[in-house]
Amino acid sequence: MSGDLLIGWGNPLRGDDGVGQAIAAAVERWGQPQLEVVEAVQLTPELAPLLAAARRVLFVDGEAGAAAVTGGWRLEPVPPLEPGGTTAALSSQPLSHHASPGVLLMLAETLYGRRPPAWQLLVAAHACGFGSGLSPATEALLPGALAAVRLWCGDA
Amino acid sequence: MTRTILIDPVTRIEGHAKITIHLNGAGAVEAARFHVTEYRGFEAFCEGRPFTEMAAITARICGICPVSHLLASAKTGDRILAVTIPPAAEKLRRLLNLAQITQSHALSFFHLSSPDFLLGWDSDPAKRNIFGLIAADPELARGGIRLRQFGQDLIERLGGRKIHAAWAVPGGVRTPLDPVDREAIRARLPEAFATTNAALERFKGLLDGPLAPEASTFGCFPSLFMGLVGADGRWEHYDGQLRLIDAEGTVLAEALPQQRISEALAEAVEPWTYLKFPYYKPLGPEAGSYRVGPLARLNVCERIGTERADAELLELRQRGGRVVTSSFHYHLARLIEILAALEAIELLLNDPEICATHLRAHAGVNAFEAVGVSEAPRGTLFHHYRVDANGLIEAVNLIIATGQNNRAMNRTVTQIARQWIPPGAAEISEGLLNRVEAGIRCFDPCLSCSTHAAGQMPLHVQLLDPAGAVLSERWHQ
Repeated sequence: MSGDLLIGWGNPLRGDDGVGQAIAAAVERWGQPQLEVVEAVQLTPELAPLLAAARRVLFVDGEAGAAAVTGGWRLEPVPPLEPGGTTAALSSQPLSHHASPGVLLMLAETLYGRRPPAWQLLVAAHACGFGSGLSPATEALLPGALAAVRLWCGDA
Repeated sequence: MTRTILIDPVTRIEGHAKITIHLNGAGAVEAARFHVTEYRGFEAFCEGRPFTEMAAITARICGICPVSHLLASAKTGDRILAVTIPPAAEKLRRLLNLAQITQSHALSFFHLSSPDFLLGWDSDPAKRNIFGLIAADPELARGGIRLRQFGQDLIERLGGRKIHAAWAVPGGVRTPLDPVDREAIRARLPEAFATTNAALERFKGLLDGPLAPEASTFGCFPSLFMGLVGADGRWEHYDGQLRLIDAEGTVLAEALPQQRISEALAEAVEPWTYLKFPYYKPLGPEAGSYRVGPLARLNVCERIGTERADAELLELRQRGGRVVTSSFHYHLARLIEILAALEAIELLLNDPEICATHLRAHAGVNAFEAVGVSEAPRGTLFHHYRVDANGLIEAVNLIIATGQNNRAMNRTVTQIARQWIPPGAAEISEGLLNRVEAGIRCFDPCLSCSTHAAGQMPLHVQLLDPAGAVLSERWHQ
């Protein structure tokens, strides 16, 4: 088993949708030896073996609608997919070009025999129009979100 | 009385889209439309940027095909510099594109489409997905993932994990292939070949049996086909001449003018979709519509040029004719192209020049307008830039493969709907829904590379009367 894995995902050409990658890039600059950092536009199946080999996983993503996130971000365990929830997850977030963390974790467990403990850090995405760079509102959330990642890293 | 069946959005494709099926007064299918509801607005914010940054910028458009944009952009940059890149740089770019074709086709075949093929159109939707496939055939599912992983691994060994940092640049590529990486790639080839061969045999068996009706009704119609061809009409994916043929195999254009492509191709618009309808100008919007992508590339070429892939191409033509017109055979074409890509990768790895270190030509701005063309997994990709004397972008136009297949996708959906919706039908069966979606998935469209933060929508199906009242409604979840 390797160390911890952080996957920051989203499209950096769609404004705040790129906040996951922005946080991943900042974390990579910390140079933590036991933390592998992956930046991805989408979650795709070949990440499953990486997940299966990781001690713990943190997905970092933007979440549309600031109202949905108290304080601008939240760190929580990735909710498990119930058997009945698999179809819904695959219909709305189909596995092919685009998978959810839950589906990817299930794939890791089903194909590679291990589902690591997994969390998600969801940061409020205020503007996801065409363009690079974060909105001032989401940019302002980065220090708090990065502190949350540090907490997660130190919680090993 | 007319009614409309609405399928919104299409699942398992990039971006958001919907399908409407219009019934006439007799309850028969009048027409079907594939709507793309999101505007591709990536070009606008490229204006004012240095053209040397375009490869890095446009590679971020898509999480599935960044390499395709990277290469088309780098080739456009080569033209602006007016340089011939070093031979080793071209070979490395080719290697990168072959890896991209492998991983993208593997994703399409094994993860999008195999559940339909192997578990049945009318099977329980709770099981007709990748997990159902794993339960039914774990080796195939695992092999598909490893094949995609092989392609991704090759891409990362060439360009680094952050391929978006633009390994391919105007004038060449940034870094050579390490001999250690060459051996690591070579070591994985036997498994990749074995997975591809197993999938080919399995799929051809299905085509001869339970999938025969779909092969004859999923977008089976005459059209033009366009794609790059190399020397002697050989299969090509990176450079060469742009050939256009008709459904009988007659070559309408042997070498479309790539740098003046707007003289040969035009784009029609419809009010109900943001996606344009490119066509061959001399024949007009309808007769001039053409298909691109794996099937088109196999149709326009004379041969692939490698032993195993050529044997499969011959078998494809025995099955579907010299020009294969059924869109369902895009799936078989993908598998054949994976095989062709693996053989070409093997040849390139054996090339003594592949680890050479002279990889870049340098120059200033020598042309103010240029077009770069390459074959993305989904079809021919054009990048067209206009720059000022300082190399700053004044205008950008991207012609993507999915757009060029737009009219074919509409015709495919119409054909499937006519075949599978009985006159007077008021309910939409699971099998029908899945076939309509699967018809679109033949083309493996990549629509918008859109944000996921906006949330996900489940499949929503509505049957509407002429006044817009909902006659029946179904959520696909």
